[in-house]
Amino acid sequence: MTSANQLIRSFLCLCASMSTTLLNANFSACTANDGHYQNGSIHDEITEIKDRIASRSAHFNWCLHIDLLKLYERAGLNDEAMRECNEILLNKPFDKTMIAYLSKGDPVKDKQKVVAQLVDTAQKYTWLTCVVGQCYLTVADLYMRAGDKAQAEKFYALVMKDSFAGTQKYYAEARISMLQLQIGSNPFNPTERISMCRRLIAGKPNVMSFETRNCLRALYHQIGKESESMNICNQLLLLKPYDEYLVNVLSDWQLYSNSRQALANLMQRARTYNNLPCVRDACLLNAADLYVVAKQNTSAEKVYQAIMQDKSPQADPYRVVAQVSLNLMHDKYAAK
Amino acid sequence: MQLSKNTLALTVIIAFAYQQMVSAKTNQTTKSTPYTVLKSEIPSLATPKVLQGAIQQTGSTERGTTEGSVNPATSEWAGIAAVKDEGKLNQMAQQYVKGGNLDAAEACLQQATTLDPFAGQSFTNLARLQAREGKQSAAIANFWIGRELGATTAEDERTISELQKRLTDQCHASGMRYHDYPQFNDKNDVRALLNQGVRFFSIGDHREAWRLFSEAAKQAPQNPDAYYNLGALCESLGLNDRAKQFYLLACKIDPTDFDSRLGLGTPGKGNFAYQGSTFKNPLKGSVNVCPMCRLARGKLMQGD
Repeated sequence: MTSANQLIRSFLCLCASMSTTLLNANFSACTANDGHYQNGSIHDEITEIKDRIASRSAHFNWCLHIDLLKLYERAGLNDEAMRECNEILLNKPFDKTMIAYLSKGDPVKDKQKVVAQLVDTAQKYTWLTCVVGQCYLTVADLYMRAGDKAQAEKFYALVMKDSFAGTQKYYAEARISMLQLQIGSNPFNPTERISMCRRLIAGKPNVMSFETRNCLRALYHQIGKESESMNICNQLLLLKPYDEYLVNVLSDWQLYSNSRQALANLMQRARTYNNLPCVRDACLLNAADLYVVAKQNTSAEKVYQAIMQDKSPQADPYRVVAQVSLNLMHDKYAAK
Repeated sequence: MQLSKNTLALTVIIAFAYQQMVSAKTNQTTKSTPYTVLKSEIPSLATPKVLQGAIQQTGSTERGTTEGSVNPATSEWAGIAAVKDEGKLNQMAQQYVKGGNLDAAEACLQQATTLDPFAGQSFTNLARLQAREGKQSAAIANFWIGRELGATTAEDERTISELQKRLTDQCHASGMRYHDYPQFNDKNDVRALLNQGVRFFSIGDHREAWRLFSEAAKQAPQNPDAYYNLGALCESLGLNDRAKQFYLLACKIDPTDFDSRLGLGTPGKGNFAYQGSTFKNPLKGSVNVCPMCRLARGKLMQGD
């Protein structure tokens, strides 16, 4: 096992040096802002982006959805724009761009106006669950920051009341805040929030709560305890291999906007957390996939082979996927 | 409910069997490409030639006109299960309706749709009966199939509109979201089709899920999610070879899709073995628009 780790480690060093040579890599597939749909009428542009989204829906592309939302805004299609906003929030909860879009104002200067706008949006688009969750959560946080605990509690309760499967993250955040309010703890103090998460997890030792642990992971990241955060990430990836949200977290949310930076971040994480099999393999697999998208098959193959060398039981699904990827690259399924 | 699940699962298997019979001959001469495989994989909504021949041999192309009457009083449930003629079952259903035994009539028509998944008239008859019984969603779904098989009339179209309007009112009254009902979604929206398919899969309606995923695959042949979902659906029915073919299609379109690769690498246990049932939806689609999520919520939140 030690020799395998050493081999992986040396390989990762090699890959890190290789990644710097990716100056002209073709990452346009991961970014939407290539400008080639700027011609024609706005409806043509909308149709073109929708087609691009439809053809590549296996991977959520933040840039494409943002562009589509902007086009809907320009075309005056507010309902459609809000639907795209919901799609973005579903894939990237608490997205700051979307919070700003929904707020339509400065929450510090025009708090009342922003609150009214958010509540109005939530009431108007009741079927867009993520929009509703985000609006009410933002309103609750605004009240909380202003010291109005009663109003904050009311809106946290609204988030919890109307929670769907796609809005568990909003539910979890609201629930932790609500419990903190009930015991007089400060929801905006990361340390107090961490202790609340720990209490919740310790309260049900036999149940694995994904969302509560995810909150804890984010809080550790927030206070700079990266190794603790990655430890929890490893536990979560063990339960839910290659979870898209967590993979985005591992890339520092660069997958949608800057694939080269995402690749660098993933390789760096894989090297740093070599002792956490799920984190390392998820990072490597995503990096290899980025190489595939960039049509750098030789590099991709090397990374897939590095995953194959990890014999730990936790890496089982990643090994399977790496093997299939290699088979696909060598067209081994063609004859079958 | 159990009967319904079994019959639907059986129907999907029968549909596969028909397709295999048809595609076995064509595959000998044509080289498989992603698109040609797709076309042969997805059950055509037109009646296959093999099936047409079978119908003609039994002389039951016109429903309910060629067979004799049935006495519904004698061991009716066992009798229904034993009948293997779709036309006769339609006729039996008529008898049961006349006698006021709507449950038995529905069982007959369910059995008929199982025996012949391409017989539009059975679906339409079933939908009419369900509309009469107030089973609105099921009625609409079956009317859709009947319509696609060319077996609906102008009167049926009016009934469909009426049912949809009634559902709309109920939707507003109960505060349910319009995404909860498939008829409110844009039929050309691939994401909506996938979401609806996931919804039907979650309630055990594999046939409707299959139809919607197939429709999504037809509308967006370069979308890997539809093939992935078809693969997962096959895998859940134990059709592992078929599942592998769909996973492979998805992988060829998008070689970086994790779930398709996992399914391809571990046929028969892949995604269902690795998913913690609490956390992972085996199908692709926005689960938050699925009404079943209301029911699933307790499970999803149990960790908290």
